[in-house]
Amino acid sequence: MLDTKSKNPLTAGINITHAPQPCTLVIFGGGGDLSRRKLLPAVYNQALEGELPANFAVLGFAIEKMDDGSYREFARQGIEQFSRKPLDPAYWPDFEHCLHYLEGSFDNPDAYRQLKERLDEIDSAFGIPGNRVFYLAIPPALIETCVSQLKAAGLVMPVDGRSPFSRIIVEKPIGRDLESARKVNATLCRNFNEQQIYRIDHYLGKETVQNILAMRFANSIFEPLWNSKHIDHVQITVAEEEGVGTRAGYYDTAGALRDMIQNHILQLLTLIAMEPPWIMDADVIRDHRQDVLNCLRPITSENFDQHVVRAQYGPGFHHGEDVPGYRREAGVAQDSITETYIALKLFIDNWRWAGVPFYIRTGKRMPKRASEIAIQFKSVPPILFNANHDQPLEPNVLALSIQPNEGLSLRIATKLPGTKLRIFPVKMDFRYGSTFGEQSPEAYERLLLDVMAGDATLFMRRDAVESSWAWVDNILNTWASSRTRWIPEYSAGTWGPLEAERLIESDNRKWRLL
Amino acid sequence: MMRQDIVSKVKIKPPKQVRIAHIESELGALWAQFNQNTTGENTVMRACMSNIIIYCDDSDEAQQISREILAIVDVHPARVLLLVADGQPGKDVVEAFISIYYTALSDGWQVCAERIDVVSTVEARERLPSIARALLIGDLPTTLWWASRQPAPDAGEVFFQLAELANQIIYDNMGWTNPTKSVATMTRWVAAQQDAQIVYNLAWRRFAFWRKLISQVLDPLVAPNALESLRLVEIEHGPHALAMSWLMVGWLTSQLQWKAVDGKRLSNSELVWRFHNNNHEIKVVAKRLPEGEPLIYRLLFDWSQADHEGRLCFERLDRDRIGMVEAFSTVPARVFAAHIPERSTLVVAQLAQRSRDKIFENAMKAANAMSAVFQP
Repeated sequence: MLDTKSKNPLTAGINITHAPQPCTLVIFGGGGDLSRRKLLPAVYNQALEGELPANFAVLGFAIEKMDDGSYREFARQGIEQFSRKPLDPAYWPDFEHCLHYLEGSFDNPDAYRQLKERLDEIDSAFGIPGNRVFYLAIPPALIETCVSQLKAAGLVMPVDGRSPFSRIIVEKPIGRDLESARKVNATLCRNFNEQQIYRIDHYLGKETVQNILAMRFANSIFEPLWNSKHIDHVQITVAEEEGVGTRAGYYDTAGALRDMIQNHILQLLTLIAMEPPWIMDADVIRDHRQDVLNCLRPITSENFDQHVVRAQYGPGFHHGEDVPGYRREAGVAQDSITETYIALKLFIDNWRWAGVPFYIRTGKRMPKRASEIAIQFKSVPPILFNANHDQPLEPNVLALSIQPNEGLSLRIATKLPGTKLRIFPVKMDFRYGSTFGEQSPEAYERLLLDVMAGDATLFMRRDAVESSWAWVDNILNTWASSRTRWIPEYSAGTWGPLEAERLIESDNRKWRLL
Repeated sequence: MMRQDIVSKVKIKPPKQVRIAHIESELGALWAQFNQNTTGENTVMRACMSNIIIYCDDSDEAQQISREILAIVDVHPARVLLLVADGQPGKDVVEAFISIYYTALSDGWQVCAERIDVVSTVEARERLPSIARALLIGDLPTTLWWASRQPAPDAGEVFFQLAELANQIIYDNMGWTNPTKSVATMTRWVAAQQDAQIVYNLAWRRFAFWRKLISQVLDPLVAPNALESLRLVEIEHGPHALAMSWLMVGWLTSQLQWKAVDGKRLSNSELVWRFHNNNHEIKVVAKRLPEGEPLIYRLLFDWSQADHEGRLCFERLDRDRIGMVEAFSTVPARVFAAHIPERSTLVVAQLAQRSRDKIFENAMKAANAMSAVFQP
């Protein structure tokens, strides 16, 4: 017999991938930059598209002096400036009712009592059954305070299948090394169950990154070639054209390794290198990604120079304009040796990837903004079309472009028309934007819905965070022990230092020109 | 109404009349010419995801669909075959026109559609499937969009032959003159199809937002007992939306396992059904408003009992919003963004659907069961 007391047959077939459940999104640091630029616009876009649960509200919780009215104005300005979809003046008055604000200090237990009361009020006003998503858009130093206070105030419900859900979203960086990451994770896990914790890396919410899995496992032509027998090497590039900008305070204590490699790039690497999961289940996929991290060959002081290059941008040109070097940027120490560029050669020691180098580079003040993963296949034998040793054929390359133009391209060799036998490389392009003609949702939109739906596939698990820090710590420790005050420099607006060229050229390979 | 951004982004080569036998070669020539006309450094790419066969009744419909094709191929690049059954061709009984749609890329052009219009006299429409058969691109899925106002199986051989070519058939029951009979005809035909073919009613997608909303606000977590105690459902719809309302009730009855007891016409604009859910009776009333668009304008659910009041009333506030009517609702009132989707948007969304929708098919069967007990 149909049980409609506890089950809802009407939800069947409505949305298989995402079924966000009714909840209140509580944004710690709701008056901050992330909230204004990303989170509130993401919520608004999803409301416009009818993707949010019908019973939904937002509560900004922060130290800034605001009330509901001024918070709605704050949100409106953010949405006008940063939203993917323009603000609809006709819908805004209805939408803004779901936005609320509570001013309070994160270390004050009274503020959490008020938070609880306010949430109860919102629950009854919006028909929300006590479900809460806490988004910590706050500096890492405040995480411990906030989660402990949440727990002490009785705002963290158990995971027992009967209670409403309490989920927490934590922004990177999770720590600045293995020890501090463990501490943050221990704090989180003391107060929340691992199933309730969503460590966000917005890179994983990007359409092309998700498409890596589809491309690999929904096509039969790639996977048989996806191994050391056919792949010569892999290059991952994440290039930013901007300098350190307003993030100098954080960046000068972090650097490119912590800022980009430990999280975004290692996560991309796991998606490229993982074994086929047997089911689209969050934990199965994360187990497979974790296997890749477990197989990363450690970079030690013995092989360090052949595997790592770091550098800092000096003065140069950006779009033809003079730009200062890193040490001349506001907020940066004049003797800083923080790396703004890093190039790595790494290996995954498992059956599939044995001997295949993965070259990784990321940096600021590069010629253009571009993120790409390129799989370079092995060359054809040096006979027939490839018999000319002076001009060997360009090998096939499958390039997955992540930004700014999401898509993929395949370089193949083809005969030029004419009586002569001339082979020429041709690039076949597939571009998301121009092929499908519709906007992809912003990464935060997708990821917020995932949390409301309880889908952790695109979030980092504790073991992944700690394994990647353990691997990165080897590099950090070697730098620390060298005690050098010198760092190679590259001119702003170039693709990095000479040392990085040498790193790859010593293997008879080249960085791709993007 | 067309989206302005699409109108300006996708460009069209003026249609060229060609002989039926030369359609493919003329399209190739159009491609080659387009390549030559672009400056040497820029490439022309083609993206193609589907064959779309569109069947419509006459030139007026074809004109409306022409505008929609623009929006469809912008999102879903395709080869489009527009078959016009009674299009009043000029000299011959069947005439063909070709064109290409393209968009500018930063470093070249992308052809996002090849369009072939085949216009026939009503007597010659039987020839259309054979023309379509020869023009499909291999290795791509084929969708038949049945845009005729006539329920598809009633069109006979033309429909059956076109349906054989398609992996998916999209139809729309908006505007059907006899919803009771048409629902039965379509349901029987859908039920007879093999699993390989997907059949889909745009009306189902049209009220997808309603389904989502209803399922959320009547969820046991937010409205305890509502689903099991539902006693009354009242629907107010605009003209030409009875079939959609019928399907909506079909969805409720199939998912909540109600059994249709009887149904009758109370007046020219009001129908009523009785259902049973093993415990009690549920009454569903559908009222047609004298004017308006083919939409659901008001929807009331009542699950009140002697000791408990439970009611929820939605109303379409305008083309972009649905609100809960506070005076008639016992749950907190809110307003939701609910844009009325354009037909092209519905078609695009459906083109991306690659598997049968059992919930829809169950709703169809339930709608058919409602027809069976209905006394006209």
